[in-house]
Amino acid sequence: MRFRTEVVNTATFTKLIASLSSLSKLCWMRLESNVIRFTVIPEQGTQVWAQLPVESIFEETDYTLESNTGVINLEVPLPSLHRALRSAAAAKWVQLRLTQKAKVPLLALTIRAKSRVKGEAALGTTTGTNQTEGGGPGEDASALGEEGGGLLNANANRERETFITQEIPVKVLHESAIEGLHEPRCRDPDVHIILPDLFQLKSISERFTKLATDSSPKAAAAAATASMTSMTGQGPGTAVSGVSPKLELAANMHGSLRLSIATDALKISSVWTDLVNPSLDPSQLSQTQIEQLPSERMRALGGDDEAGWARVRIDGRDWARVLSVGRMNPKVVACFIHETALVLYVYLPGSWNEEESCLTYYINSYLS
Amino acid sequence: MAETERIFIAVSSNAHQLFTLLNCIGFAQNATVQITPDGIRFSVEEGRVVQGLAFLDKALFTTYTFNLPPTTANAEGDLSMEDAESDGLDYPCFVVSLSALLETLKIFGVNDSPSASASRAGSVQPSTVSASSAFNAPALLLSRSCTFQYASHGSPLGITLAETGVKTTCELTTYVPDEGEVEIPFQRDGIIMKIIMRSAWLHNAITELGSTSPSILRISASAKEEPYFTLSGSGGPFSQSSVEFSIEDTPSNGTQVDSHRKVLTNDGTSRSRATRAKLAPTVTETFLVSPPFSMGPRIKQDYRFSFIHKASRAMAAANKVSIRGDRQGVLSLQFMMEFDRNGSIVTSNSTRSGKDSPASTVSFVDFRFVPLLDEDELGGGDAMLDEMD
Repeated sequence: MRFRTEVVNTATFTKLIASLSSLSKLCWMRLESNVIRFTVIPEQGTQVWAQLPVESIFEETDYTLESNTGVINLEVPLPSLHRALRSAAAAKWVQLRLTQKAKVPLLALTIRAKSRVKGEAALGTTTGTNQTEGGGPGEDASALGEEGGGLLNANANRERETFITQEIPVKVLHESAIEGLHEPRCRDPDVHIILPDLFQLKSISERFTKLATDSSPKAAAAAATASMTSMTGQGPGTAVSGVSPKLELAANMHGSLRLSIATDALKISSVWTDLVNPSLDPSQLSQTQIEQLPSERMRALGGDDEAGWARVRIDGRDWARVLSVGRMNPKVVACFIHETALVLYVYLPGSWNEEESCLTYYINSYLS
Repeated sequence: MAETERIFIAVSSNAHQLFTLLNCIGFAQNATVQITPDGIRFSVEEGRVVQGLAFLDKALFTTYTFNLPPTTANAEGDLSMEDAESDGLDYPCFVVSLSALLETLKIFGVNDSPSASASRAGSVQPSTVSASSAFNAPALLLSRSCTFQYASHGSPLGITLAETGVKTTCELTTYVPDEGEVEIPFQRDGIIMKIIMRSAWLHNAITELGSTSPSILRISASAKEEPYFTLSGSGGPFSQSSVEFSIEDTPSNGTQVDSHRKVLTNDGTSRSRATRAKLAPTVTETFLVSPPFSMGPRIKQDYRFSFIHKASRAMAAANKVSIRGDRQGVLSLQFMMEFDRNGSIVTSNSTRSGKDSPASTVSFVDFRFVPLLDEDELGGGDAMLDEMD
């Protein structure tokens, strides 16, 4: 089993890992011959199923993958990988490879950094400086061993090349361990809409969460119950109280998105208008199939008809973590399945084919 | 409900101003709101020993419509009558969550601006206020509007924030105010101390004293002998500390007043004042101390430091402060806030701008504090109230 590649898009890789690590500590990383899959399934909260073509983060021509099954499945501790990648931000060259040390499988991230040295500072034994570059603050040694790979050569330009290798202990997952894991399946969405600027959405969502946390959480649950009694026979007794506040997110097929929350002391909602409801690819579905989609029925309802809104109730804090993917500056299509789930398709920007590099977030709607 | 029936609707193009004013009294969870034809009055109190009051003058709004419903005319007649009977006041009065209101106003990201530091600089040099906010306010706020509305008695207080692409509506539940709420009585005809100075000096002094976390703040003032005006903190885990506002010409006394303060006040007015009225600290613009005969030549009054500290946001944001004390020891801090209109001018407010002073809008935030009396060290506030009554 061999895996070695050069990381060419360190920034994207780092941001991706940072976004995933806000949701969970562990990630299932599946290396295939032409795609890399990242899957995050936390015990509670949002699942992410991401798929990126190899060339979006790795050098295609320098991608070695050898395995009996053609794929390698790894369980990667995200915070460690994130810390290692952060130190690679300014590196000229970054290599990622699978290795092992004392029978512990490791992902070794080697970076080549150049640092300018002034005059006489070209000391022979400056390996000590590596540690300041390689080791982030607060790193625990068990998660992140450091190999002082000190290859130094002070060249004519008084530039010093430093190789730093950081090792992240991983687990190699056997096929049997992952065969039970499947991407969630959802029915066709009622509403699909392109989300507005994620930073703005995140900051407003966080304010709402704070407002609701300051007031009583029970009130929020009770208020939301009132709006959903038509659908569920369950009383407010099933409400989860005392936990993170639940935001109500709703959208219609006429370009509007609404974020709202209600407590004893206030009701607050933000409405975005003139957003885009993306059209579906006509090549995949026939005209009659498209017409039968729930989203087309929703579109047929007027823009001011409350029945045309699909609603979900989501955990405020979890939602804020999901929205941290905004740092990748993506295009996000939100698919609302009324009172059931919210699915976000996060398309990363870049030169590669957008269709292929997509992060899918599955967010369950809470009952009140 | 038709627009004409609304009791109150006001539109501001600058939510930041409103936020700055209300944030000054943001130490309490809830605020009592009273809508009057001249503006909206927000008051907060804690333990009946501290009171803060912010008045949003109608000049702060681009439009301000207040229709006092005749008590019998419309459908909500019984409600409004009830309100009028119980209150004895015609103007609508209710309690809302101030923390929620502040958080709502912050949705525009007004909090992102370094408001505290900018205002501090502004309080020493007022001309820098507009300059320091140039990056956030004028350019970005143009397309933003903030609407307050109150439809009828008992309805929620609505705040609508609109900017390009997104509109946020907040309905704050209005509660019936507590009948027992009374203002801290301040005897306007019994004022024995009146000191006006730049608010930044007071803020500096309180911040300085606060670093040793004292429990008691003593204000000491005398018109006849040195030190003329001293704030001292005591009762904390550390030793006692004091800030003395001294006269510039006798620098040996002012051990704790930083030298740079003197340099900053070295403009024409304060110098002439210092030479004309020698027995007043350099930083004060007005220094009137006339203790009653029973008190001797010096006014000494203790306040709980943590309460005075609640006004520190106002101290930081205000331009000037008027420090007044009455015979009973009640302390009034009146803060003057100046806003440059340039930041908020939009076309729709041209109707009002003729009336206003073109340069700036002045608003006031008031605080009142009940003193600590000798006998009740740091005891309950009830004892103090009894003494007051």
